[in-house]
Amino acid sequence: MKTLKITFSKNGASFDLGAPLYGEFECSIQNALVNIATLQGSDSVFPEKGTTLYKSALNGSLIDLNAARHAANFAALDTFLFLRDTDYLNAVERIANIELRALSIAQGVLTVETVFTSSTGRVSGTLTPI
Amino acid sequence: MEIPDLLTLYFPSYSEIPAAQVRTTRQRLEALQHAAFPDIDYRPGSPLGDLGLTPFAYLFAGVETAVGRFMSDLDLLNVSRNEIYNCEYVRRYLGNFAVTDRDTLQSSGVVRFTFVEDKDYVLDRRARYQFDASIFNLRMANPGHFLIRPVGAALVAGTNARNLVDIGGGLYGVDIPLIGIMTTAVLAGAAATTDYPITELASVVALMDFDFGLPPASLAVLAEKTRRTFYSATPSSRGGAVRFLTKEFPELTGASAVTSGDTEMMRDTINPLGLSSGKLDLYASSAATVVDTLQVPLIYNVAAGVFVGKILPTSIPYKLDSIKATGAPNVILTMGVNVNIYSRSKNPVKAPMASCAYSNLEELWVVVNMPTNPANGDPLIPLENVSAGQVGNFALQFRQDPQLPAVIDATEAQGVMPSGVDILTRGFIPIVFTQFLVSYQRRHGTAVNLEAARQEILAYVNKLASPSSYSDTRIADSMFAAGASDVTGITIQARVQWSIANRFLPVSAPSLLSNYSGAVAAAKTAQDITIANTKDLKITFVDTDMGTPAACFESIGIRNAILLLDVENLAFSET
Repeated sequence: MKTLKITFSKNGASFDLGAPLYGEFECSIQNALVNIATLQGSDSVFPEKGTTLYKSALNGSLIDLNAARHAANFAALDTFLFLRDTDYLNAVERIANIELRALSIAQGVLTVETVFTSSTGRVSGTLTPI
Repeated sequence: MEIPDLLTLYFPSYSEIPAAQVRTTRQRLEALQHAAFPDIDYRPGSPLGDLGLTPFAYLFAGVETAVGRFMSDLDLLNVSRNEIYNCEYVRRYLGNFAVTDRDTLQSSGVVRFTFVEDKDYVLDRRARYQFDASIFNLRMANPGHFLIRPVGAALVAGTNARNLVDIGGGLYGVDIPLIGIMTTAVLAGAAATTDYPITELASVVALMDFDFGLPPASLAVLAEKTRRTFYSATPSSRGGAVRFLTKEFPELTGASAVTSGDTEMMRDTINPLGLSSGKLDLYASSAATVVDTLQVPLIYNVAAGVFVGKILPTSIPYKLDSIKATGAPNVILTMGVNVNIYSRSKNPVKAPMASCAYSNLEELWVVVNMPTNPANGDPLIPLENVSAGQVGNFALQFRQDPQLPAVIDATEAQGVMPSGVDILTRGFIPIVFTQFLVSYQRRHGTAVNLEAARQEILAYVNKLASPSSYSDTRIADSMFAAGASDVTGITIQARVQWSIANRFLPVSAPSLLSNYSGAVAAAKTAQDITIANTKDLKITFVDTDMGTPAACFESIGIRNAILLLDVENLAFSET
């Protein structure tokens, strides 16, 4: 499987037209990251798409690390369920688990660590400040 | 080809498309794309899924909605429910079925032209007949002008022609249908003026309250009519024939078609090989009734002691109310006792014996026995000497449906008659009530408005014909509405009236005038069918003498029966 590659940075996201992103698991991870950063309810066709993490960050709900971890856990679960519901029936390597751990809140920046585990046991992690 | 502007005419705004519909569409598109391009990610959240497939799903759902709306405009069931997206297109589409509201706007009625001289007349087809501000033209089924022929003169098939009838007082009448635009109601008895006057024309008088025709039809009404008529509106099938009648004559209260193989069809029994053309009997009835009194001089047969003569009514009578000797009105003349009416088919090959009844193929002869004074044997009806011998003058009062001749003209017009189908248009066969007794109960202290019940029951029962059928519950409804607490019974006595005549002359029978005794001996008497239970009003009866010399070709069923109930025969009994 392939898709357009998206590059995430602290300045936002952009398409990387240099080369497509290959791999079923990799494509799913990219979709999951998009989903984590999507405001839940912003897509009228898929109202369950997205998470409340970004909204919580914007409205000041993440008052401490505990609140951030709490929100991150929900975001991981929402994303996992959404991907599971929209995955292809014939998919071979699905996302089996998503961990979204809030590491720190400092100077208005929330840093989370995201770890994806595939149904074949592969693990892919990234450190993401949002 | 005109390219339709689907976006303007049928495409919904995106806000009109439910998100669930877009989602379903997207899922179907995604499944389609994934099957064709399994290595490309179209899932929600993927770049191609979110930026390509989802917007396209909106577009595709919109196209599907637009096409659905277009197809809905082609589905006349939806149009008839007023669900129309493009009125102009639907109007043009309905035009393909020749359904417009122009024809059905026409008002119609029947007038009697009265002339002072018995001779040929030509009514110009452009002639207009005006009642106040309402203007009508002759309703003609065939091309050419309207020809009025003298009493008894031959008529040519396929022309607009009628015979004059001697209506007494030196006047000759003919009933002719008119059609036009009615701005104010034209009531029975109203006199018309014309721009094509004829010197001998004494009057043009409305015989009935004119029918307004149908109101301007909405697209929904037109669509509903189309659904009912589009498969056929010509007398080439049962449904088509009925639709043809109701389309041409919306004022008809009864319209029915009997085809070969129906129990009511007797005319197909005359060819045992079944090689003749298909037969179609059309039965029609309108709410209008004209009571006509016909002055008839009957020739006196001295040897037999009877008066004999042919009846030439202005229309086709369906009920004889009375017969009286003009010179002796107090002498009681009773049908079947001292009066007999004989029926002879003008075309026994097409419609033998009773199968010609209530059609223009039936010739009616009346025979009256000379009543005598039991004391001295003197004849009671005065005789008048004329060149042909001695005659007695009689007044026959008939009930007629003035619309029936117009219906016959329309169905037998050259442009309507389908090839290979033998059509006979008739009036329904009456089941005449001699008693209709409604037994009811009322609560103590309450009153029952019997007059209201009487009017309602008469309006329901009288002239009830196919496609409607009789139901006791309607009588009970009327009684409950009038205040009765229960209806305990409906007792009836009714008789099938096969024809105005009570005897039928076979083709081999001699003339009543030239060989009275021979004709009487050859005549067949119709079977007497009485009905004493309302459930038996849905009668099915076929001549039990078929195949024998006594056959009268009688048949009646739900498709060709009509109920006749006079006010004096409707009674109520509180139990």
